[in-house]
Formats: sequence, structure tokens, C-alpha cells
Amino acid sequence: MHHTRPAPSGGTPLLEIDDLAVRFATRRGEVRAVDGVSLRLHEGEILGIVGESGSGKSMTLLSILRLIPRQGRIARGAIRYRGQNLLDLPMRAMRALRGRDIAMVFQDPMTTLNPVFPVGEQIREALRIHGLLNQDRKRRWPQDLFDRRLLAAERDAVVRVMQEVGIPAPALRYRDYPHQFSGGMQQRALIAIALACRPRILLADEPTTALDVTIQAQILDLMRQINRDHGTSIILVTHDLAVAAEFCDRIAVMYAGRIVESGATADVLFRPQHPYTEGLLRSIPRLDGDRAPLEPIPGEVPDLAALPSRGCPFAPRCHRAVPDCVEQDPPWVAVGPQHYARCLLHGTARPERGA
Amino acid sequence: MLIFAIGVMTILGPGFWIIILALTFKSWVEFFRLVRGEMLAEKTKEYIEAARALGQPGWAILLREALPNVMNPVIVVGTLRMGTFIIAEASLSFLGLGIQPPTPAWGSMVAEGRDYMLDAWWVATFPGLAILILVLSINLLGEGLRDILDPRLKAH
Amino acid sequence: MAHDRPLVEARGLTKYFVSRPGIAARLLARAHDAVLRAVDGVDLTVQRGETLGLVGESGCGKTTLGRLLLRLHEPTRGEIYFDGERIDTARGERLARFRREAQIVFQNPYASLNPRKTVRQILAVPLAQRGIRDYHAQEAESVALLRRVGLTERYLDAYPHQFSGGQRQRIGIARCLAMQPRFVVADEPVSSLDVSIQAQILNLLQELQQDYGLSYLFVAHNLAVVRHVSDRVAVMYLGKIVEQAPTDELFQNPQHPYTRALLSAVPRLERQPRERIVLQGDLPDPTNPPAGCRFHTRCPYKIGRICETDEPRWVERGGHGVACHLYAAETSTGGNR
Ligand SMILES: Nc1ncnc2c1ncn2[C@@H]1O[C@H](COP(=O)(O)OP(=O)(O)OP(=O)(O)O)[C@@H](O)[C@H]1O
Ligand SMILES: Nc1ncnc2c1ncn2[C@@H]1O[C@H](COP(=O)(O)OP(=O)(O)OP(=O)(O)O)[C@@H](O)[C@H]1O
Ligand code: SF4
Ligand SMILES: [Mg+2]
Ligand SMILES: [Mg+2]
Repeated sequence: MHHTRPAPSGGTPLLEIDDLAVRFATRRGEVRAVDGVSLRLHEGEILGIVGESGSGKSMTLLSILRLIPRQGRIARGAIRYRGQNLLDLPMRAMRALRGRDIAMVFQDPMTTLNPVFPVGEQIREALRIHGLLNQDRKRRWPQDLFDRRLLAAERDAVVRVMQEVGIPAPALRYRDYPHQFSGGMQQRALIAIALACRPRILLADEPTTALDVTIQAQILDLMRQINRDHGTSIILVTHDLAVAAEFCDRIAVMYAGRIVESGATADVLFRPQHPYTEGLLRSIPRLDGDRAPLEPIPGEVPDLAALPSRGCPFAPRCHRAVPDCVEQDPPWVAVGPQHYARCLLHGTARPERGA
Repeated sequence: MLIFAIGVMTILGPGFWIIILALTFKSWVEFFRLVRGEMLAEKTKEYIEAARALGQPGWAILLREALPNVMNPVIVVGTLRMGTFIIAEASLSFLGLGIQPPTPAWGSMVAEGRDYMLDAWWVATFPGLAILILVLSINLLGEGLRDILDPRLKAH
Repeated sequence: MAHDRPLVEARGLTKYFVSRPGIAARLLARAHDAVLRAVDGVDLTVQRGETLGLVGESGCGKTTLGRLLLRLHEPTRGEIYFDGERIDTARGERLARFRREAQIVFQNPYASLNPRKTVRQILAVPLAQRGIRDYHAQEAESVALLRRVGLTERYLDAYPHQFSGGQRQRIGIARCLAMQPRFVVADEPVSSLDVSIQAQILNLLQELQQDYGLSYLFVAHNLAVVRHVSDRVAVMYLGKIVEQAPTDELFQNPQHPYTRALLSAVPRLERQPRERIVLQGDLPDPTNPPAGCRFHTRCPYKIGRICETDEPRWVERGGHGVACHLYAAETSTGGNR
């Protein structure tokens, strides 16, 4: 059975996000989609980012690859990958890094795979782009299209990759089109593409939200196995606390573009220190134990374009709010070993960096 | 479309109603296909199902629920087509196949004015300009209509 | 009407969808008519004031079953009774009466409200069906409904796009309540909502049930949600109900291999160590379901040839029914068939 590893504390992190802010200029005003997010990801670690829709989870991930939509911009912050600030990297170097060092899997496999090409071809293309097939020679077009031996070798490489992610009968399914794959198989194919280059970091944005539970379990198993066998670090974005509970070593909870709490999985879920995390946990029905009445968080997620410039964004919905909550920006406080919360109730202790 | 209309005109002879008949005959199919396609897409939406569950009769669902939602493209295509029709009518009149004198028509005015282009340029130019302005304004009207009819584009 | 009789009862309910490929596809790709058995011989009852949960993988026929019960689909075969009255063949006034008493709440709060109507206009339709046609009476009733679902009259003249997902779902519920139904099919009513909003809507649905004595068929794929709201739960696999039991019994003592696999696959907050049954493969092609037990292609407990050839009988003991050869052998007399 799966159990949590102790959260690694020492050493330089593999990836370090520092005070990241992403803004969108819209008709309604400026949207602060990500507002001062700091995160660390260590070698071989699985980090979960949980939060409700619109809390900025996807934008945080996309910022790492510098893939945020055109209307948005990274307003401040640094994203250091092995000491190198990715935000300073020239676009060429950034493109080379995508897929090779850091790869991403999206929520909806249907829209990520190209419907008019066979799945196998799409995996081969991913391998080719990163020069993983026949590295020793330059591609010569159009001879490549006819070279039987070469094609067969490439095909074998693709079939191996498909096998690895558990697509049954890969040799037979090589020429199948995406619509002939079920949702779970499509997601496997995307993971195959993402893993084709053995990236150090896998960013997974709700990779199982569109899938059934039995298939979700298969995909999470696959990702866990990749993490174990290759030491790939994973950031998993999800809104399902139970998925995060089972899969992640550490969890960061996001609300309205900020991280409100972070720490080892067991600490965050069983000793929540932020009222929002507490509220979330009380509003989800459980599969075990008594069927206790749900205690929903009142109100709705705030409009990010109309957030007050001061105070805690959760204050209007918070059952523990004190008058100061709307006056003062809550500090980032250590509430336990490697466990932090952004809440005024935990006093105004010396602020610390990093999640 | 123009060729078809010319064919019809040569057989049935020129005339106001004949033009309308010829142009309509050739283009209603397009609207029919458009509305059908949009309806098929709209039909699967859940609010239609909700209306059925509320016991609304079929015609009421069609007219009150679905139709307003398929009108956008119809209005857009309709206004675009209206421009084409006006130009088609003008072209036919210009060729002498459309509306016959003494009923005035911009197309035939342009045709007549063409002979006096050097002496009196305005005779041909202004009816031509009038056609242009009319077509343009109908397109603008269509755009405006679409914005007014769509609640999502209204300011809150 | 006798009051021990269930409010809703279905017997042998079946729905086939036939897809007829075009001539070109027939000639070029040798395509033929494909029959998809979306719902295949389902027996089911919903008691007064009860919530029956319906779970199963995507595409197993949950939505189709719910719509059949509301006569939004015409059944291919089978009978439906509502309050003792046969309604699968009802027409005219009888059907209209049934439509008032049985309503639906949809999953997608974005597609289930007509984007061109204001809340007032949306609520006017069911109120008019109920005979409330006067403008002021409608307004009074609409305001009461909005308040009941946690909104205020401020929203009466707003369009759906001006609301959040949770608020839209509340409007959808108000529309359903406007008919004063007795039976409501809730088809994944909280699946597309955020967890904090989910809890609000679930609590609202439960309050309404208590206040108006509603019966629900609650369709969802989130097992924790189903456990929370249901009195009994039915598990569906490829168009058939494979197990049905009172909620606590089903979750503590699942019998069918599919139910067990399903329960073991659900991630849990508590992370208690548990036996994990990992299912191989995907849901089979529903146009060509496996013979015998439809689950045999993925079943980890398959007991032999019999699973591939014979359809398992429905065996019921103390309100816990299951269709699986593992249990069919134990009892000689069958359950409710
Ligand atoms: N193109 C855009 N223009 C304006 N605002 C945007 C744009 N894209 C995203 N946003 C805003 O950025 C915020 C964060 O979005 P993001 O997609 O990161 O949320 P999320 O946490 O991933 O939510 P979800 O769970 O729904 O995927 C949202 O509130 C959204 O309104
Ligand atoms: N109108 C239709 N015509 C043809 N096939 C249909 C139709 N509606 C549903 N089906 C098919 O019937 C089967 C059952 O569909 P249904 O929507 O009932 O499943 P479901 O259990 O509700 O799935 P989900 O959890 O994805 O909502 C599916 O294979 C689906 O493709
Ligand atoms: S009948 Fe056989 S195949 Fe089907 S669930 Fe039971 S044991 Fe498994
Ligand atoms: Mg997202
Ligand atoms: Mg469904």
C-alpha cells in the first residue's frame, strides 16, 4: 500500500517558484489569476495543488512552461529550474526544455490529441521532435518516408513506449486513430508522449478528472510507477482532495490565486490550519465512517477582477474571520514542521518564504 | 445564381415578380439547410429536454425555446444574402432583363447613365453609390440586430 | 392508491438505440445497423420519500434509464408504473399529469437553461403548466421559489449567463420545483460544481426532500456523494443493474465483483490500507456486449465457462440483490424474477 514519504526538507529543490504573479487584462479590469505563489518541488517528489475552479492552478502550471494564454502576462516572480530562472531563458532554449526536461499532461485527452493522425504517429512525432529517434543522423526528407528499416526501428521504439504506459496490443493499435481509443487509453497515450523524453518533471493538470474511477485508479498507478522507477518529480493539479490524499507527498491549497496552506499531505488533511482547508474538508462527503451532515462553505468563489486590494480574499466566506481580516494582508506563517498557512489567526509571526 | 436567373428570365420574360421568384427559388435551400443544421445542434441541449419534461408541446418548444437560439446565423446570412440579391437585381436590370421601364430601378439607371458617362457622370454614379450604401447599411443593420437580440452581448 | 406500493416501478425496462449508417458507409466500409442496448431489462423501484442512488461507469446507461423513467425516451420494451398507474403507454391528459409529477434536474448548469430567457420567463413556463397564468401571481410564486432555493428576487430579470454554475443549478432546481413534482430524477446534479458549492446543493436537495416528501433517482459517478444522499443504491454495468442494496449494506458488504472493484478504486481521504482490485481494460463496446455475464471480460473472480455463456440470475436476500454466478449457486430460489 502507498504511504507518504517524509517531506524532503534539505537540499536545493529541483524547481523553485518564487513570488509568481500572473495577470490578465480584461474588460472588467485586471484579473490577478496568480498572486504571489511560491512553491518548491524536490527531486522525486509528488506535489499536489488543490483548489476550486478559477483559483489559478492551471495558470501556475502553465507559467512554469511559459505557456500562459496571450492575454495574460507574468507580472513578477522567478521560476528556477536547477538554479536557472526559466523566465529569463530565451524562447529557443525554453522550447528545447519543454518536453525534454519538463513535460505536461492536460485534463482533456480528446482535445489534446490530433483527431486526424493515428495515435502511434503522434507519439513518434513527439520522439522525433526531441531527437530521440536516430540521433546520430540528420533527418533527410523525403528519404525518411521510404526507408523501410528506419521506419521499422522507429515503430519499434514507439511500440515500446506504448507498452510501457499499458496500452494493450500496442503493435496492433499503432495505426488506430484517437477516436478509436477510450478516454483512459487516450490519456495513456498522452502520458506516453509526455514521458517519451524521460522528463525530470511531469506537470499533470487534472489528468483524471474526465475519467471513470476505475480508469482513474489505473492512470494514477501508472504515474506513481513512473515516479518510482524513474524518479520523475510530479506536480498534480486536482480539485479532488481524496486523489491528492492518496497520491501526493505534499499538498498546496490554492484560493483566489494564492497558496493559503501547504505541508505534508497528512498534516494538511488531518491537521488543517487554514479555515478554507478546514471548510473544504467539512464540505465533502466521505466514503468511510458516519454519514455526517455536510457543512458547506457559504457564498461563492470571488470574482478575481474585483478583489479588494487589502485583506484576506477568503474573509467574506470565513467562519472564523475577525475584523482585522479585511484590513490586513494575512502573513505566511509556519504552523508546524514544514507546514505553513496564510491566516491572521496564526499570529503575525516572522514571514517565511517558500512552500 | 445570376446565371440561373438569366435562364429563367429568358424563358419567362423579364418582370418584377419573375426576378423575385427566380432569386428566391435558387436560395431558400441555403436557409433551410442552415436552420436545420442549427436546430439539430440545439435539439440535443438540455434546456430542450427540460422543456419537454415540463410538458410543453412540440411546437412551443420549437418556436419559443429553440428558434430564438438558431436565429443568429440566419440573421447574419440573411443580411449578407440581401446584399447579394440587391446586386443581382441591379445586375439583371442593368442587363435589361430585370425591372422594365417605366418602373425605375437603380440597375437600369446605371445602365442608361453609362451612355452619358462623360457628359453627365452623376447619372450613372449616384444610383451605383446608392446600391453600395444600401447593401452596406443592411449588413450593419444585421450586425446590430444580432447584438440586440443576444442577451449575452448586452451590458449588465 | 395503496400506500405500500412504490411510487415508481419499472419492469424489464429496455432501450435500444439503432444507428443506421448511410448508403456510402454501407457500400464502402460494409457498415451495418448497430444496435446499442443502452438499458437492457432493468427492474427497479423507488419508494415514496426515498432516494435511490444509481452509479456506474460512463456510458453504462444511467442517463438513458433516468430519461426512460420520465418518458423523455420511449422504451423499446418494458413497463413503467407511477403511483400504480401504467404510464409507459399514457397519452394526452394522463401524460400531462405525469409530466407535472415527475421532473428532472440536469448535470450541466450551462446547457440546461435557455440562454435567451430571463429567470422570470424560465419559471413562467412550469407555472403556466400548473395553471398560474396571471403576471402578478407568477411573480409572487417565482419570488417564493427563488427564495426557497437560496436566491433572491433581485435575480428575477437576469439572464442565465449572469449567474455562476451553482446559482444556475439553483435556478434549474427552482424550475423543477415550480411543477410541484413528487418524483425527481437528478442526473449528476453536482458533478460539474466546485466542492464547496456541491455541499450547498446537496444540502438543498435534502431539505427539499424533507419539506415536500420528494422521491429522487440520484444519478452520479461520485460514490461518496451517492453514499451521502441515498437510502438505497443500484449499481449499473453495461445497461444492466448488477447489484442493489440499502446504502450502508452496499458500501460495507459489496457482493458483485464490479461493485467491489469500483469501491476499491475510489480514492479516500482516510487512506486506510485496503485491498485494491485493479480492473484490467475498459468498458467493452456497448453495441457488442460480451455474452453471458457482461462483466466477465474484466472480472477478477470469474468462476469459469458459465460466466461466459449464461447470464447470471438475480438473487436477492434481505433487500440485497445481485446478479452474479458466484451467488447464484448458493440459493436455489431466485429473488424477484
Ligand atoms: N484568457 C483569460 N482571460 C482572462 N482571465 C483568465 C484567462 N484565463 C484564465 N483567466 C482567469 O485566471 C484565473 C485562474 O484560472 P486557472 O485556469 O488557473 O484556474 P484553475 O484553478 O485551473 O481552475 P479550473 O479548476 O477551473 O481549471 C481564473 O479566475 C480565470 O478567470
Ligand atoms: N440518443 C442516443 N442515440 C444513440 N445512442 C445513445 C443515445 N443516448 C445515449 N446513447 C448511448 O447509450 C449508452 C448509454 O448512454 P448514457 O448517456 O445513458 O450513459 P451514462 O451512464 O449516463 O453515461 P455518463 O456517465 O457518461 O453520463 C452510451 O453508449 C451512449 O453512447
Ligand atoms: S458472473 Fe462471473 S464474470 Fe460475472 S461478475 Fe460474477 S464471477 Fe465475475
Ligand atoms: Mg485548470
Ligand atoms: Mg449521463
